[in-house]
Amino acid sequence: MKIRILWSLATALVLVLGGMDLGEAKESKTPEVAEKQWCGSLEVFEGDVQILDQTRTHFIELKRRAPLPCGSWISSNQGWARLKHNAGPYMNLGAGSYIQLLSERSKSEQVVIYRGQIYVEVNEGDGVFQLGSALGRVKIQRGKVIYISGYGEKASSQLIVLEDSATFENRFEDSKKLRVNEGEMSELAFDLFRIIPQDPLPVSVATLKPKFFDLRVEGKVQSVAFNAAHRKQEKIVAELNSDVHSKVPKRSLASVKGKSADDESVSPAEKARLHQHWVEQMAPGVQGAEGFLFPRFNVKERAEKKKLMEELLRVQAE
Amino acid sequence: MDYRSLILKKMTLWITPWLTTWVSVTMGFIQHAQVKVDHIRSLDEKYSQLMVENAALKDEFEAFKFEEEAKFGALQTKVLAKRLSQETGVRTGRTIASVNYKIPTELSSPQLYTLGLSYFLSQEDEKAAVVLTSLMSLDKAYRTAKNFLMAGVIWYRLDNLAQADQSFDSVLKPPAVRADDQGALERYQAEARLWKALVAKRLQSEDQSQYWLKDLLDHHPHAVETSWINSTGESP
Repeated sequence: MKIRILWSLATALVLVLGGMDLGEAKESKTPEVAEKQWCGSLEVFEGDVQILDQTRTHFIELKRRAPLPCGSWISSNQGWARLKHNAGPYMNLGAGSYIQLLSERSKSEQVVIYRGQIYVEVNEGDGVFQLGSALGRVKIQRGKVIYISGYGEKASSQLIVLEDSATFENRFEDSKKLRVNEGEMSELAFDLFRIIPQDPLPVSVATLKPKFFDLRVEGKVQSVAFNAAHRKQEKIVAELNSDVHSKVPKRSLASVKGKSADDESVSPAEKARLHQHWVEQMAPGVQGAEGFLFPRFNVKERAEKKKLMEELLRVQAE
Repeated sequence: MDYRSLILKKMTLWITPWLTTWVSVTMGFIQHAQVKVDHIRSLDEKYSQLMVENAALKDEFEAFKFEEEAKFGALQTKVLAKRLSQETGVRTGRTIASVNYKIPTELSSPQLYTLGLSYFLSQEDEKAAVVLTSLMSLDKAYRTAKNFLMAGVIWYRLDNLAQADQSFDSVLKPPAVRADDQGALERYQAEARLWKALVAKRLQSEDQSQYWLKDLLDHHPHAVETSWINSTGESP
């Protein structure tokens, strides 16, 4: 009797406990990924980073080397992430940024930047890598760039080239592509009454520093970029300005030891020497500096004219 | 009935209701725990679901904003292109107002001129346009045929054909411009006529283009530019 009671109790307990689902780890798993096309991987991340799959129904698990399917949506609200695209380039995503990864076979862009800033490294052999934002498009054959979309209150796109070069264009007016070289930046905004990006300007070191910090750009790249920016800044304008601020007041650029080429007491030989000095001062290290400072119109226009003339002649002959 | 059987029977009678109560209480507790666990699990699932939905909504919002910005960009491009086309002759034409460059202060006119020339040579046309336009509007001494010709070439490169045409017109108005000598003036004017033909060609005005080429032949039969039209270099 006693044994029967004990058995019945044990059976009841087993049945109850067996039927009870403790709810362990029945979390929604990421969808089947076998048939998915991968576009990149998550290399490193810090802070609040979220990655949704292309259907926007599942989170991608955040871990090192986590594969990212094509069409993934990556946002870094208070964080930072380094990604690698299948095409080869590495990308650092800054805080408050939001991008979508697309296939390398995509006809237009491989990465769409919805908001924020991104640092991209494209090495030799990676092919042409394209970044797109609401207004602009950047194509990089080889180089390191920072691309910013919609910064500030106005909608605009900004490209800063740290190494080598990249082309920048309006997505809706691709007839004019602007080449931006290292140490230069360009902006596309409509408030300046133009539909193509601005001519490149030297980028200031002060502008670069916070961006490098936010995007965790490595030190070596930083120093190359700073050097390039300095080189651009030190061009003609700086030289001219340094002369303006020189200690000798109102010193002519063409003067040597207080003499000026305009001085009538100066002999023709001395004038020629002063002129030569002026030329050397204005265009140091330039081969054929005379022609540089006193140009005739260059070959490009001549070739263009010649082509037109040939066309006209052909039309006339017909 | 022996003593042992009696005790066992009594104990069974005593323990059975107790056991029944204990089993029912335990079962009730287990069932309650199951309900709680189910509830927690459902909340957890709901939380995860909400997290995904929240992220998806944020994504949608960003995508919506992006689409709106893109639409605005496309519209602005279209509107501005139309306006620029009317003002400059080309969709991508640039005007002095659309160049975000300020000339360096504290530079003398000759220094500014050198700066403008340097920009012109290095094909930094927007800066060259700003420097030269400012200089020519501020200092009459720089309103020479050569400088008007250079300004015209800069505006041509910047796709502002209207402004370029105007500058080439200025070269062709001898009393209004200075030139070092008559020979130089004629050379600049020959170039200006050819450039006017190029401008007309780009504006798809074939008649005008022909007119300026003929004008070049009439006025400068021995100029280098004429030899490009008339390959023998002789006057027609």
